[in-house]
Amino acid sequence: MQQLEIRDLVVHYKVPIGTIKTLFDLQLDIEKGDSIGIVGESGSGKSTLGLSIVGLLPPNARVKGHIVFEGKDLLKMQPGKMNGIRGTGIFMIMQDPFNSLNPVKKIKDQLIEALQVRYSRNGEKAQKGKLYDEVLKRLRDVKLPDPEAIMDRYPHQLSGGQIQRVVIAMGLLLEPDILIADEPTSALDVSVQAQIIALIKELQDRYRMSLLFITHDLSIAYAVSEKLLILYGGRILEFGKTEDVINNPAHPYTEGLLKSFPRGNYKDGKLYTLSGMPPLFTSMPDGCVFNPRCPYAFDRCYKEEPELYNYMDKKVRCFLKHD
Amino acid sequence: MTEQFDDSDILIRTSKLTKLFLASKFGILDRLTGVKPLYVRAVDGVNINIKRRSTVVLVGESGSGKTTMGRLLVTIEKPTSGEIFYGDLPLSKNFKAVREQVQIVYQNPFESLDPRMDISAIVEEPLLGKKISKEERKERVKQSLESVGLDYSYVYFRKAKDLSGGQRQRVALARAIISNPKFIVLDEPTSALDASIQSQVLNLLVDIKEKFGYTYLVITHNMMVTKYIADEVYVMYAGKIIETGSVDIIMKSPKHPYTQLLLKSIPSLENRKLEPMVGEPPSLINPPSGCRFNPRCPYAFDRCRMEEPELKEVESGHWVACHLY
Amino acid sequence: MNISNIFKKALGSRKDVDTFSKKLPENLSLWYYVLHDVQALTGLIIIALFIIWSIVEGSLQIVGDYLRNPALGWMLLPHNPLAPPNYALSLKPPSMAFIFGTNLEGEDIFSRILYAAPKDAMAAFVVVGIAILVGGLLGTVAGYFGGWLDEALMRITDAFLAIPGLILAIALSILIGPGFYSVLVALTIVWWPIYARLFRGQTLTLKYRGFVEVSKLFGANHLKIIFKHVFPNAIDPIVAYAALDFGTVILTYSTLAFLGIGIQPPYPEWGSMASNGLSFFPGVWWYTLFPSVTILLIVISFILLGDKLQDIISGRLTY
Ligand SMILES: Nc1ncnc2c1ncn2[C@@H]1O[C@H](COP(=O)(O)OP(=O)(O)O)[C@@H](O)[C@H]1O
Ligand SMILES: Nc1ncnc2c1ncn2[C@@H]1O[C@H](COP(=O)(O)OP(=O)(O)O)[C@@H](O)[C@H]1O
Ligand SMILES: [Mg+2]
Ligand SMILES: [Mg+2]
Repeated sequence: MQQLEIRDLVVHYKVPIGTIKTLFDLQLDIEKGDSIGIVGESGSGKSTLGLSIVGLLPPNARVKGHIVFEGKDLLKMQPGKMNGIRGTGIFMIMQDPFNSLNPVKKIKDQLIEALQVRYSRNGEKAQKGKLYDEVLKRLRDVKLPDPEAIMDRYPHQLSGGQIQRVVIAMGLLLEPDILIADEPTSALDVSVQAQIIALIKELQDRYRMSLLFITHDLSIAYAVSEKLLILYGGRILEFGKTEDVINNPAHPYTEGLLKSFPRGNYKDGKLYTLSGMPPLFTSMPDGCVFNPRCPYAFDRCYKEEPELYNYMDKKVRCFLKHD
Repeated sequence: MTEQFDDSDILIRTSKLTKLFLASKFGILDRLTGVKPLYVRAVDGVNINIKRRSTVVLVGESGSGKTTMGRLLVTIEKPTSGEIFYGDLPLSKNFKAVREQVQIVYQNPFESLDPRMDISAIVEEPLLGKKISKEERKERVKQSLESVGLDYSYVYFRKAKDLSGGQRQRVALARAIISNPKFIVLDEPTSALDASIQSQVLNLLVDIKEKFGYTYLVITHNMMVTKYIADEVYVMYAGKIIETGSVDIIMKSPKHPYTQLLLKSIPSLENRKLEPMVGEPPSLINPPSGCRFNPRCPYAFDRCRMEEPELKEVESGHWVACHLY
Repeated sequence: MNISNIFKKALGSRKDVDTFSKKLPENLSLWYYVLHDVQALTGLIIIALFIIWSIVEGSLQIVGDYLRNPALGWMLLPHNPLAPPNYALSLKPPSMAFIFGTNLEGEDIFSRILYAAPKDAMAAFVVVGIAILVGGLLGTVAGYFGGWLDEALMRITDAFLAIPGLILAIALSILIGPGFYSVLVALTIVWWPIYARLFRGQTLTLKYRGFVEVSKLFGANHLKIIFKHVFPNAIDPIVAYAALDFGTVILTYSTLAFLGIGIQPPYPEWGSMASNGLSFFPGVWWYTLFPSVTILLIVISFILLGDKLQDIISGRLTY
């Protein structure tokens, strides 16, 4: 079942010297229970995509297009109505998690409040004691040491990694229909990272939650997601099944990126490299955004921007790859 | 320059190297009232050998003491006890000479470059105390920037913030190599970089190492990077080395239960099924008795709780600190 | 692939996104943002006018004093601000001749406001300047070296921080006699501890930054590190704070004058003018209004500029 439909999404940011066109021609369908890894280099527009879905873009952003959730276009919705959806419908674990917590409330109160939101959505009631225990259990799940003490603290008394885990716990307590997690493990240690990923996946399975997992690390996306979306310069360059994208990359960017990952030892030879750097939004190339770095680029790539074509069960933005 | 630094096959050797940090502020009042200070045992009796012109990789969870180890080796941190030998001489005997031969490159290139200075001033800094003419300094800055693949005329007048992450890391590297060091510590050199830039930097590290004959200590938690760049791997857990051997041995047939679990819990393109490690890293103030890994170890038995295992050579060149072997 | 494409590829063809009216400059400096922001620019222009005027007028007053020819001090002003009382002109509303009206003594309010400006500017720059120097030195040293030195310096700072500024000013004006300089001394004594704390806080984060640590490896000594890496990097956010603070000093200085502490008649001061005029309000509205508005305008200009600088420095505007 189609749960979320994104059509022709365009996001610009207004800055004192002009407009930064961050997302362009973004099309995405999310089915119930999907887990989608959104991978891109820094500045490729990953957070912007997540924020536009939850309607939390900064005030200098301008949005066009459609984001349809349960038959309603979120972009046409009154700001007040969106609050009803945020949280239990769609929840986002922000890249900077500190902003998701209320600085003047104890962790305990914020998490219990989140849990109450879920209970009231399901029409259930629960005692304070039961709520407290459930919150405590989740804090243990996200491997917070000494969760009882943490419950009584205020956000500023916690470290970055602890805050990140509290917000992950909050997301899990809400059991939203769609969970967007923006680099949720980047402030965490490698071993905790695997634990959190396992937890998110387990809950996703159990409650058929849909997951959008934003990361700059292809190997994490590989571990988490069933589908993979490759974002580059604000465009989707490739979208398909994770196994398929990793094992048979279609877009020259994905192909080059995967080839450049080290697999052997330096004594076995040099690493393949993609020349150049990711594009800047202030000086985008004409035509295909990847053309300055593409080994296969030909005339048309410099004149015209390719669409997102269907290609062997995937979607690929490349003139060389379409059915 | 000391002869000793150049001669033997082992460039750096440590013997029972230990670094304790005060766990909390220990003021005059505490001292007067006779409170015992608490210490974090960040590095605890570590012996390592680093061969000349080799790359040693240090892996482990965060908080296991890797950065402290690197900082000890480049003399930024003073050991609490134990000794570091450069060549055959202990550090205490030739501190000045050693300082000129070691360098460190940090994980976050923005942190380690002064945002107010021009790139050329940043790269030139190591030469300032020396008797080198202005022209020669300029020439060497140029050479150094070019060795790391930067266009001198493009970058020399810019500030760090005007460069991309990969370029900044190259600048940090150019500064590290300008004074012709022998030994460079690279603390997570690629983890702040975008995927498509990581391979460029790894290639560069290998290139300049072969060209100038550097010896590296690389700290990373990326297993693909470890596999690529390492000759030897040291696995660190709670301030101790628990396993070491050549990169092939450690990656293909790790013996210590911690190393095995660590490898399975780190995502890489060759490891889709992550198996998260159970439990928490131990307290470094009050480490568990016996083997420090015993509370999390699936194979722990009585002896592990009582007696601390020593590093033993279980097969040629493969050392493990575990009672199972 | 044809030649032009190869060329384009090598250069990484640049098409400015259509809505960009102009290309982004390579290096966006602080001033770039200030000059492109209406509020900050307004603040900057008013402050610049205030400072330029203060320098010109201040120099004339000093030279006038030196040559024993005080008339030099009002050479550029429409009227003599220190003229003996002339009650025939008392409390005249604004007109072409007296654009801000006159006060009880029949003096031109506009001239008096302009005449008083250099003292306000001087108060702001001396107090904040000395605070930055003293506070900066002590705070940086305390933060950088830590340990007992830090403890000692910070306890001293705390002691100074506990002195109530107003009471000190009153005490000093009784002790040294009322006047501009006793106020200046009092303000300086209570002003620097804040800067010591600010600099210490900055230094504490800076000293663990990689570039400071690495510098030690290069054999740089502490003094060099402090002056090359710590101080210059600490100063940016403090400049922004100081910009706001100039306004606060002027406000405090005027408040003290309003209360009758500081410069004594016949010399004009904005705060005391506002205070004297208040008893005639609202009938003689111009008497208190124009000096008050002047204070407000200057203070707000510093706030506009300081606020913007803080935005820029904290990175909110640097994409
Ligand atoms: N509030 C904003 N105002 C202006 N530009 C912004 C803003 N937020 C993000 N950007 C720009 O939009 C682009 C995409 O940002 P983002 O979505 O945060 O990327 P990612 O999460 O992939 O790193 C970047 O170039 C960034 O500088
Ligand atoms: N300057 C310091 N003061 C106090 N404790 C420190 C200091 N530096 C590191 N530590 C502590 O030492 C331990 C090891 O830290 P570190 O060497 O940074 O580990 P790693 O690099 O493996 O993450 C940690 O518990 C850390 O908190
Ligand atoms: Mg982001
Ligand atoms: Mg570290």
